[in-house]
This record gives sequence, C-alpha cells and structure tokens, in this order.
Amino acid sequence: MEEGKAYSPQVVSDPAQPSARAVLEWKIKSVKSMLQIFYLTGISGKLTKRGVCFCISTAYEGTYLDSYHLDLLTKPEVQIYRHSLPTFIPLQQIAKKYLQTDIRRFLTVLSDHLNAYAGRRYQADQLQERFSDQIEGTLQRNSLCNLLVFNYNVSSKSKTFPFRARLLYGDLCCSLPTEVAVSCSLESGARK
Amino acid sequence: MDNGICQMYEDEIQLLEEEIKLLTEKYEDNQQESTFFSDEEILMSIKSLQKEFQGESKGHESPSDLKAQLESLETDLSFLMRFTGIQFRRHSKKTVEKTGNRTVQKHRLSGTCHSLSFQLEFQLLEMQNKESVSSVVTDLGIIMESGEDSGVSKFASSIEEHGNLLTFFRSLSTYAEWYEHRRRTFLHFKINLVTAVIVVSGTAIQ
Repeated sequence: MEEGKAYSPQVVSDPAQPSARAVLEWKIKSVKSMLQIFYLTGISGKLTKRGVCFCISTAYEGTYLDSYHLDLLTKPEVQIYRHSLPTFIPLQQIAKKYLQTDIRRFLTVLSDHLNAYAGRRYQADQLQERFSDQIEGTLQRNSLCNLLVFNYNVSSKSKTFPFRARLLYGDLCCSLPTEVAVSCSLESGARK
Repeated sequence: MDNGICQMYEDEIQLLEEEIKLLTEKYEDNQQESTFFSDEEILMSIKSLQKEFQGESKGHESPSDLKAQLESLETDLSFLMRFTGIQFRRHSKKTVEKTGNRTVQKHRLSGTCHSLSFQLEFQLLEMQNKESVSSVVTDLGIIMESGEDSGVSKFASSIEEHGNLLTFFRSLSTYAEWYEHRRRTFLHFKINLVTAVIVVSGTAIQ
C-alpha cells in the first residue's frame, strides 16, 4: 500500500437526497404492500371499468388456501359478470338472497361457505397425508368435502381392529362435523 | 484453458451473481422498510418529476404512468377501506429471512374496524411454488382496544393460539358492525327517553 494515500469508499448515491422517482416508487411499493395485507383479511379487490372484481381468500388457522375471484358489474344493477367459484358452492342461491340488497352480507356469506369448504378439504388432505400408515386405502369424499368415509386400523396386543369412520358436515358454513359414526367389524379381529 | 477449470469459474461466477442479486434485494427491502415519506413529500415528488421529464421518456415508465399507477392503487385501497370498514393506520414490515423461494417477514399493523381499534403483530412466511405463492401466518399477537370485555379478550386469545388471522378480520368486521348498530340504537333511545322525560315532567308541572 502506498504511503500517504487515503482510501475513500466510492459513494454511489447520497441516500439523504432520494430522487423524485425513487420517492414515488417507494410510495407505490408501500400502497401495494397495504393492498396485500387486505388479501390476508379475507376480502380484497380491485375497481374495474364497469364495477369491482372481488377476491375472497380462504384460510385454515394460519395457512392460507385458495382464493376465488368474483367480477361484479354495478350498472344498471349489481350482477355477476364472471367468477372462479367451484360449481358446488350455492352462488346463485346466495346472490338471489343478498346481492341486490346487501353486497357486504353477500360477500360475508359467500366467504363463510368458501372458507368452510376450504377448511374441510384441507383437513381431509392433512388426514390422508399424516395418517397414511393407519388409513386403509384412500379417504372417500364428495366434492363439497362434507361427507368423509375412511377405514383405519387400530392395533392392540398383537390384534388389529379394522374401524370405519363416517363424518358428516351438516352445516356447509362450518368446518367441523355435525355427525360422526364409527363402527368396527369385531368378529374379524385379525391376528397380526 | 482446461474446460474443467473454465466450468468451475463459470459456476463460481453464477454463484456470485446469485449472491449479488440476493444482497441487492435485501438492501432494497431494507431501504423500503426503513424509509418513510409524508404525503406532502409524495406530492412534491410528483410535481418535480413531471417538470424534469416534460415530454421525455427515458426508457423507464414516464412520470404520468407512475402517477396514474399510484392513483389507481390508492383508489383501490381507499375503496377497500370504505367497503370493509377496516382502516389501516400504520403498517410496518421487516424482512427477517429471504432464501431461495422462501421469505419470512415480520409485520406490525394497527388500525380500526368501524370504531374498534386493534394492533397486530405477526410473522408471514411466503413460499414461491411453480404457479402460486403459499402464505402461512405464525406468532400472531393481538391487542384490542376493548380488551377489558372478557368476550373480546377470549376471542383474541383463541385467535392468537391458532394464528387465525383471516377469522380475526372476518369476525371483527361482523362484531364491529353490530357494535356500531347497538351503539347508535342505544343513543337513539337515550335521546328519545330524555326528551320523553322532559315532556312528561313539563306536563306534570302544569
């Protein structure tokens, strides 16, 4: 190193004087960030030329699952232009009841149905995944995931007992079953 | 030069480029998260940018594009806040971890839902899959203004336990709306009762 020569680091830009463009870009990122937070609240959306496109997000406990879009037109009256909801969600029924009179309630009820469905499906997937060694075959379920039937084995003292469980979720806005039936074919307690 | 050595250098260059990319993102995130500009500063920047680039476009987005983009985003945000009744007052986030397709950010959020105030803290883990991003909320902490109400604090504790951020907002929205209805109804009856008492006592005096 040469004596007497000071080393000064290269300053790329002066952080105390951000450019006008940088300030605007900061603000844009900041607002986008806030809009993403709305996604976490369950109802977010974007204004369109002819109305609003809502996004209903679903989650089970802390895990966010699928989100669904609902494109609404607001003139001459509120109507559904297009959507990405599964066919087994009673959208027309709910729309008939609430869409014209109370859009917030319409979205809340829809959100209840979608979240309950997503929750039931997630729980069924997790059950299949985490207890695959105890479950015999595959979990049987309908598309709404409100009827679950599966066979599982419980071992005790070198005997294996085959059980069968049937879960019925009577309330479509709920992700907990309303009826559970468990049966065991006791005569065929096969030896291990 | 030996092909093997060439390949080795190329691999190393690629690794260094990835590291530079990661560090740049980290720096930009840090800058974004630790800066704050007031509304006046934003307005001044819009005016100044429009003056600087009168009619020019330097390969970036033109100032009017940026302004239009900002206005569109702010209109959407303002609509959502009015529609849902959820107003966010302050939001800060800090990137805690960023590796490959996995990002963990710590969020602090405060706001009101109709007239009820809340403060939240949580960690958000985002994983980039092929087609989408999966999000998981952990370490959720909630402070509610009406925390003395045992129903509300029980609700908040149960939400915290399961990290149910979405349920929190949905339930809060419904609760806050009905809370407003009750408050207005009570006020309406209170006013009418006082009026009736005055009328009755007035008649009685006569």
